[in-house]
Amino acid sequence: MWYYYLNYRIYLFYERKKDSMPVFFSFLATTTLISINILTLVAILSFTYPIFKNINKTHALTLMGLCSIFNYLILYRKKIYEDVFSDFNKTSDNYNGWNKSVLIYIIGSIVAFLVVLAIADYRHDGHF
Amino acid sequence: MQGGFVKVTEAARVYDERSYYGPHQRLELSIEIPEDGMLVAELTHQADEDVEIYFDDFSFNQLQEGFEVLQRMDYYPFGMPMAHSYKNDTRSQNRYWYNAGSRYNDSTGHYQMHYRHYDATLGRFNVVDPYANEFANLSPYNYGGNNPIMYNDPSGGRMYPNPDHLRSWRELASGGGGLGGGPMHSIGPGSGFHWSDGFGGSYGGGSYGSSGGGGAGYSGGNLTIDFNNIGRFGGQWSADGGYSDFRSSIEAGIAFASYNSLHGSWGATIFGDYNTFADSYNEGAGATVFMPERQVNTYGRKCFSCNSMINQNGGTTLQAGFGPGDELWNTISNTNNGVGFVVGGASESLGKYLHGRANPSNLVGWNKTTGTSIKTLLIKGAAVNRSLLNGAANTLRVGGAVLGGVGVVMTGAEIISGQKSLVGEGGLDLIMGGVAFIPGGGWIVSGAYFGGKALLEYTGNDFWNKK
Repeated sequence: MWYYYLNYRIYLFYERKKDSMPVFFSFLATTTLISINILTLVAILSFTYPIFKNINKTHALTLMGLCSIFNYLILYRKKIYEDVFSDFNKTSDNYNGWNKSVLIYIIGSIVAFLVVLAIADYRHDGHF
Repeated sequence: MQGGFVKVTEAARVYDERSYYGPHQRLELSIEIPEDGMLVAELTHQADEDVEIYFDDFSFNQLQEGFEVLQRMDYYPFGMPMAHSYKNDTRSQNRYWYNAGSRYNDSTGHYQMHYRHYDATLGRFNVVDPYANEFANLSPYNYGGNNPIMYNDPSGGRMYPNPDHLRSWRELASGGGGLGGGPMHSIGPGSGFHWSDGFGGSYGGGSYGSSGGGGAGYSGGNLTIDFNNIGRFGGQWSADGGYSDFRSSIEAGIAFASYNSLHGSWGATIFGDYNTFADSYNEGAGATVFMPERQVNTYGRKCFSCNSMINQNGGTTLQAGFGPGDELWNTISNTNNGVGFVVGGASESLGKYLHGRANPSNLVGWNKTTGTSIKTLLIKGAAVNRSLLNGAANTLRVGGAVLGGVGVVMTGAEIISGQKSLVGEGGLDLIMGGVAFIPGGGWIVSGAYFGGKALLEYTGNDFWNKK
């Protein structure tokens, strides 16, 4: 449910910007967010298990592909999002408490991603 | 079960003496052997400096009474066991003898190597050398170039003049310590015994090999491998005029490591981002010695679109586990990734522009009855179908945004795997990737960045990866 709300908030953001494809952008943004979450985990694992260090662009693309399939199945298949988003439109006041966590999640994902990349980078080069 | 090997170090020195013939040392090493087993002693001097070392008066002494020596092997230079060698045939016998522990066959009296069998009585192999064409001045049946002091031939293929090779050959097979007789000279470049010394100065200072891509090559007495400059397919290594492009830096590194093991040129190697590579394969930070997991042959042809790196001499594939098609994505170079960002950014901006042009103030052919428009002005004087324009704009924006998202994830993967650095190329790629999506002038800034970078890479002046 929280994940649906995350999608809804991103959708709302693009809709307010008068974007013509807010649904597509909420789909892409959540997919990218999940992907960089998993990539963050992979980077952390790579500090202990060198096998995770050998990821390449193929893996990155496969990861994004899987994430988008997951995202599609969970919310965007058969226009499930239409019902979900319209429900949120009606009852959005009930979910105001989640706004903060959504914001923290988005910013936290990006920051965590950059931080582990910085650490990975440091471990590779020995300096920043 | 106890295993491994004990090196005789400086600590084994009992005394120094200086005589008419030069200095000599007496070395003594005591080890405790708690179980039945075998002891193999290897008399080689393994050090970086180029000094001649001779051994004599070599002996084992058993200090504790009540124990039995089951086997003792001494050899003539070409490997025939001396008559006083002693084997207790009633016990399990060690048959890995001379020539870096080649197996001796009692029935035939031959040493059995991978390619051929060797008759130590004659000092000749039983069949022709598979690499005979490389040693045209020698009999194809020769052993170790007829110079068993300097060379040995643990595979029956090429003769090898260096201890590194012996170590890799045996250690890889057994996981144990080094075995067998070795050379008595340092064999680094410039010593007179190194493979490269035959080339004289003709290659000095220049790039050696057929790579043409820079990054790795033989120059000025050093071998270099640059893991940052990953070449056309993600990997690059060349010192012998053979392979120059690999599908990944790992493949390049394996060829490189094997090459150095074969030629004993570790000490003369300048590493690019070597620690990254060593860490990955030695499973530990700061590892300084890398041994390939298996013997590979670095001689081969330049490969631009092969599915597997089969070498010219037939046989070994450099690394298994690369499916066909894998190279497709690995060939997306930094440049292509950058171009993706630019195209994405431009598409996004252009798409938005086109979308903006599709608003009612730019419409022509307004149908008052239905309230719809058929055409819209693209620029002054040119009108296009509105739904087509909207479709095109949205398609471009979808393409642009997807490329942007994929680009961020891809760059992240590259940073994790050490192909790009965050503070530097990778980070700037991420920032510029973001900039490309700022409508208006953003994609121009990004375009200048990626375009300039691509130009530098293609002209061989890669700014980031310059060493």
